[in-house]
Formats: sequence, structure tokens, C-alpha cells
Amino acid sequence: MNKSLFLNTPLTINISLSYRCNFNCNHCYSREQTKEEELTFEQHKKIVDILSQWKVPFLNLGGGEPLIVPYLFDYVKYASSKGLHVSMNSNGFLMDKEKAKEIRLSGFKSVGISIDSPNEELHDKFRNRKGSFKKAVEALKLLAEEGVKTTVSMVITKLNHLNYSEIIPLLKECGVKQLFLHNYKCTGFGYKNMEEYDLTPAEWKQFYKNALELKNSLKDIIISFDDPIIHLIPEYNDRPLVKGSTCGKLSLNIHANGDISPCGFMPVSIGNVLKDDIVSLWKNSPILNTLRNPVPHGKCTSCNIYENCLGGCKARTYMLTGDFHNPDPHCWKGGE
Amino acid sequence: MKFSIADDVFERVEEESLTQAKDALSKGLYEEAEAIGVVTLIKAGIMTQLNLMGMDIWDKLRTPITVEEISRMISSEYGISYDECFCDVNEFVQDLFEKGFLKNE
Repeated sequence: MNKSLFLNTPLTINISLSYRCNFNCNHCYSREQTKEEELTFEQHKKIVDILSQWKVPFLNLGGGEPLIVPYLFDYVKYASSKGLHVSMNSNGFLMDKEKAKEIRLSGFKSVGISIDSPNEELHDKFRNRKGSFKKAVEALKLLAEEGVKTTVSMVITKLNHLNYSEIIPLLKECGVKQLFLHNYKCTGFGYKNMEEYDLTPAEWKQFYKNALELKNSLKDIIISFDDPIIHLIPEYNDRPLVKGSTCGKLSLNIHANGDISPCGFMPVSIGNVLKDDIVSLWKNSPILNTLRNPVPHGKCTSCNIYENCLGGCKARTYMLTGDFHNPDPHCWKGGE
Repeated sequence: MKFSIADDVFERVEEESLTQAKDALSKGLYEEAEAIGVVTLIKAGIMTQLNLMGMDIWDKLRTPITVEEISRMISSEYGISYDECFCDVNEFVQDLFEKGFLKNE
């Protein structure tokens, strides 16, 4: 009576209200999109109506920095009134007591704050903004005072792969319940700066091995990963929502101009939310169907983990090899 | 022991799939109908889908109920022996309970 997964519409939409940002981070995937035309508040409300009609339950705001958007709280109030559970990812720099209160009142279910190193100096260097670490921590504390659920997102890089766990005491102090450890995406500035920041496959292997041990040792903070190649670690026994990458299977990404992509890190468009029938795109898009029906190439053909990882992160694979079906360049198998 | 739906479970009926499953059932294509997920459940990052019979049982769990009571109802509604029903219902309820979708009292 429990069936294999098939969704009539996505469960999560990640959306950028704006490309604009007060930061200039070394790994940013969207900084170069700032010249594209952005939709208006009224157009974004129309998108909410469409998502509500689809019965999409979860809406996550990214960008660009959501706190820059002048109509942010009116938008969230509108989306919440339509039954959507709204969350956002922010660098936290513009947070103050008043905004934290507005976040609670407008109906946000949770807020994710980015912290990329337990070391203040390294975080500020990576984010190219002095004081950004202190402001991120302050944001977490202000949100906790308002009773807003918080999470922390950390992109794993050469700067933090050996000491990321030192962030845990700070998270406990700030009442954070979940830490997302994101794999390094080679898109936008992330592509340009990958030589400096991306780990080698051997380093990824060691990182995931250690991170999994940390995850299993913690009781009051959940550690989550978004990288299908973690299945290569024998001790990993989570039952993920879907096999392989979730992009285009559980979720879609809507850019600030309305273009839709399987995820924010894939520079491919499957249509536009205000111009196309999105249900038809969800069912029939050739790109989504490719992602949902991967074909093993190269070393994946003989890999006994393939049925779980399905070739790894499709955004990274596409960016680095030009073919969704190729093995994830981060995969260490065969190179040990 | 009585079971009921746990707090904070998100559920969504997959309308198109529901229509397909009912259509398959009306044509006597039982295996096809059984393979179609018609309700999606999510709680704390765990997700599962239920088929038509799973949806029937899920609806009965909206008020506290025992596995025996559900099995008697399903046995009568679907014309299946009680023993066979009890086995399947018990497995189904235990699975949902372990995943956090149900609470017991």
C-alpha cells in the first residue's frame, strides 16, 4: 500500500524574486544573471496563484538576497494566505529586530542563514564582505528571539572541509536545529573559482566519511546533505525521498524572470512559468525526462551503487562534462 | 492499541493519479490500480505515497482506531478474509508508525 514515487506536480519550488544581492560571494551561481529582466510583484503574485492551484506545498526563496526585495513581506503574506509553506535562504546581513519580527508575522515557516566557515575571517573572505560572519550570527539570534525556526547552510570548500564541525557549538548557542552541508556547485562564479575552492574526489570521500560520523554522533542537530554520491560511503543508510538527484523529480527552480530550470545550478531552461503550461512542462519536458531516466555512462555502468546515486549531482555533471548521463566528476570510485 | 495520524503530517492527493487508479479499478485492472500512488505524505523530510486501499486506511486513521477495527472494515468493504487483511493492515500501520506518520495511544 506504500507505492513508488510519482508526483503530479512538484513538492518544492525554489524561486528567486530578484537577482540583486548585497554580497559578491566567490561561489555564487546567480551573480552574472543580474542584467536579466525581473518580474514585478504583481507577476510574482500570479505565480503564487499558479502554484496554489497546483497544490505545491513548499516555496523556498533564494536569489539574489531576499531581504533586498521591497515587497518581500507582502509577498510572503500573500503566499502564506494561499496555503504555501514559505522559507528562505539569506546571508542575514540586512537582518535587524524589526525584520525578524516581520519575518515571523508574515508567515515564514523557517529561515536558512549561510555561514561558510566557523572561522570569522575565512567566512568574511569567502563572502567578500567584512562583518558578514558577525551579522549572520546576529541574524540567527534575532530570529530565535522571535521564535522563528532557523537552519544554517554551509557550502563545502577548501576553506572549511577540515574544520566545518567547529561550527556546531555556535549553532547550539543560536538554537539552530539543522545544518545543511552543500556540495560545491560549479556554476557561475563557482565554475570560475573551482580550482581554488572545489575539493578533489579523494577529499570529498574523506569529507563525507567524517561528516557522516559527525551526523551520527549528534542528537540535537540534524545534519543534511544534498549530494547523491554520499551513497558511496558504506555507512550511509538514509532513505532519501528519491534516488539520485532530486532536481526535476521533487522540485523545480523559478528564476527572477520567470524561467524554469530543474535546479538553480543548471543553466538550462525548460520554459517560463508565466508563458507556458507548467503542468505540461512538469510531465513532458524532455530535459526533466532525461533527468528522471538516467542512463549509466562510463564507470557508472559497472558500479553497484548506481541504483542509489544515479550518477550523482546532475548540475555539476552537466556543467563539467556537458552530458547529464556522465559520471559525477566528484565521484571517487575507481580512483582510490 | 489505537493509532491515529501524527501531528504535522503534510498530505496531498495526487488528483490525476487518483483518477487513473479509479479508472483502472473500474476496468478490473487491479494490479495496475494497486501500483498507482494517489496520496503523498511528508513529515520531517520523510515521504511516502499510498495507493487507493492505503488512502482508504489512511482516512480511517483520522480518528483513533485499532488495527483489528481497520482490518474488520477493510475485510467487509473489499471482500477479503479477515486474516489476510489483518496481516497487510498491520504491516502497513507499523510501517507508517515507524516513519512517524502515525501516533499511538
